[in-house]
Amino acid sequence: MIEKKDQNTICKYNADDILCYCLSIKRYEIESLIIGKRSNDIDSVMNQCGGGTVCNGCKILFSEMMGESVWTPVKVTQINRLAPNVKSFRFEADIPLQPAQAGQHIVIQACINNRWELRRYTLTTPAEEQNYREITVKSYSKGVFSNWLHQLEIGENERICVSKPMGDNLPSLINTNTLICFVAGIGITPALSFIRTISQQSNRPNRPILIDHSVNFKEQKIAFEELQDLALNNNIEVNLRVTKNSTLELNDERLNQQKIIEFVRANPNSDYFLCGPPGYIKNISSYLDVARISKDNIFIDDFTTSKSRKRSDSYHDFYVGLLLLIAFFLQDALQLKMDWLETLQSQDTYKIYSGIFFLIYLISLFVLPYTKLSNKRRFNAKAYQKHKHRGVLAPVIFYIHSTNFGTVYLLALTLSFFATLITGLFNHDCFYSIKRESYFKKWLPLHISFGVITMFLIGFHIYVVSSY
Amino acid sequence: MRSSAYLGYGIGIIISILIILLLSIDSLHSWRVEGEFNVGHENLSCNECHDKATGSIQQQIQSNIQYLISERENVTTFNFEIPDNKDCFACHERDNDRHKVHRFNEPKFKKVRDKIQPQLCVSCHLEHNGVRVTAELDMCQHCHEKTVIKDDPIEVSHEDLVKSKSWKTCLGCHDFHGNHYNEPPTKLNKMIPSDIIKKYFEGGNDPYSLNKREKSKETRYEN
Repeated sequence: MIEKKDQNTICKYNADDILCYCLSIKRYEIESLIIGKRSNDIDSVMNQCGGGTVCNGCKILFSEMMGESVWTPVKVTQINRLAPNVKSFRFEADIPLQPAQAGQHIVIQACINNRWELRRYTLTTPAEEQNYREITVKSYSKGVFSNWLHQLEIGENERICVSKPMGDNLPSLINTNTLICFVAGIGITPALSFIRTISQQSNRPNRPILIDHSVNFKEQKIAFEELQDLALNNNIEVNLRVTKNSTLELNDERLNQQKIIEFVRANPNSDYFLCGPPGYIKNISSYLDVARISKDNIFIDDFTTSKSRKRSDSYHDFYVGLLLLIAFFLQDALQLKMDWLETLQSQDTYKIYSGIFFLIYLISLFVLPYTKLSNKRRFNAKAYQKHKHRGVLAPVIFYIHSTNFGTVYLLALTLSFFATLITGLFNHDCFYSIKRESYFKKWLPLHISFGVITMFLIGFHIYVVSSY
Repeated sequence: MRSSAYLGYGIGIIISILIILLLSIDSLHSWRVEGEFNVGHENLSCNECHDKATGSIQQQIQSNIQYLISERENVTTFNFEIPDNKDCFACHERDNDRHKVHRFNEPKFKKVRDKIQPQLCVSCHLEHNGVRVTAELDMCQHCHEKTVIKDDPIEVSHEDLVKSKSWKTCLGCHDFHGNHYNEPPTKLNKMIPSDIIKKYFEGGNDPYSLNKREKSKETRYEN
């Protein structure tokens, strides 16, 4: 049992806790690697075990394990409601906080239901502020951390820690050319920090800023009045863009290629800052690309935390895998067969070569367990990503070899193969809550046992087809 | 993580070994086939069609490795021989067969052999498909495209049926191997519809006649 420094005994780190969820690495596994290492050896430790190299979400915990003082205990001193499901939270510490740059983020750690949870939030504090940290948080229906924060009251004796500010790809606020911020929804948070910084530093030359804030409905505007007030005395322009009408349809306000080109023409030699949901970032980036804006002039905060970015990838894999699986089941249930493929699959030569291809594919999925169980931990991160991306293609690879489920032992083989895929799809990445760890401990043996059964049955299949 | 993973490997290996042991039980041989037995073969054991290959497993593997590195010309069968016509004839050989497969080895059938390999029983009766016949209904076209019958007794002549490429009608009157006691009809409306024949191919009831000239053996080991 490892007790967290400066905390009472309710929330503890257990040696058996999973520190890196991407690669399922537990604390005790890392302990053996960090013996005799200094805190600046963190990269070598992470490379050695692969942990912290997939989504970077647990890197701060590696630093903490290596003895670096990464957390500052804070108390909530102010909570403001900015929109129906958006609140700002001000945290203060007993000691002066490290100055931050405008647009940087912090990691917040809080003890929720007796376990430590981490999330990354962009600071909305002016740069150089050392007395407090402020974050602005939107609550999501299934968001463990955001809902916990939204239910928080000032003065509650909750245990919250904040990290030092992080993030370095930020636009300068003392240039002379305009900084155009295309932000959407809660993605306005870094722009809030920019404006607050400029308004506090009005005695020195500051950069002209244009903020274009897109929201679905007018009620979703965040700190708009404050921004308008600050804009009056500074070289700042704020535009609220409401993109949906009362019937929930998109209206003409929505940014498109033409509007971006108009922005670019009206503001030559500008820099651009983008923050919002992935789809928004993707669209605006492509519009700017068409408008021939160099990537050097574009700063992107993709608004998602590294964990949620990983989750987004996981959801992508999940939906691709699920769709392919449903397509395979449907083609067999509805007998949507292609004659040429059926004829091909009845030929011995095709069976042998597609079978070899199928076997190579399956063996490639066992690279991850091999790297995990052997001492090749530094390959874990790459192997993990490849395992997930390749795994979802299972129905296609199976379809190339056979479009049918087969009978008796072949049916068992097919079902075991698809059970491995289904358990893989419903992995711990798709189950993101405080129950994640207990889910993972039940999920992993199930996924692996189906994989092992599949390999044994494939061995039996090879014996049968070569014998008879 | 490792303990959960080892648990998964342990469970997987134990279940796999149990499944393999179950599949190895002789009385459960029907569980280890690639597909359902064809109609009439449901109660056969593997050794009815699959003869043990010559040589030991080690020799067979060695031979096949030599084949892969081009030190041997032919592939060696592994464990069991591939079933051929003699395995089928062990139960189904008949002197009065209308389409004896060996006849298709005659030079005049070379083109047909290249197309559908009629000289092999398995070309039309591929095992482990859960059916009776795996050939298509219009297979007659490969040999009978010049069929003309003198004093043709049927209402639409065979010549006209061939000209109109009505190949699916052939089996509506004629039983391919001629093992049924039935008189081919002379009128088209008396013939067996092709969908009934298709169902018969797939394992349905015999539409020709229940009276057969010769019965197949129940087992090749029957005297």
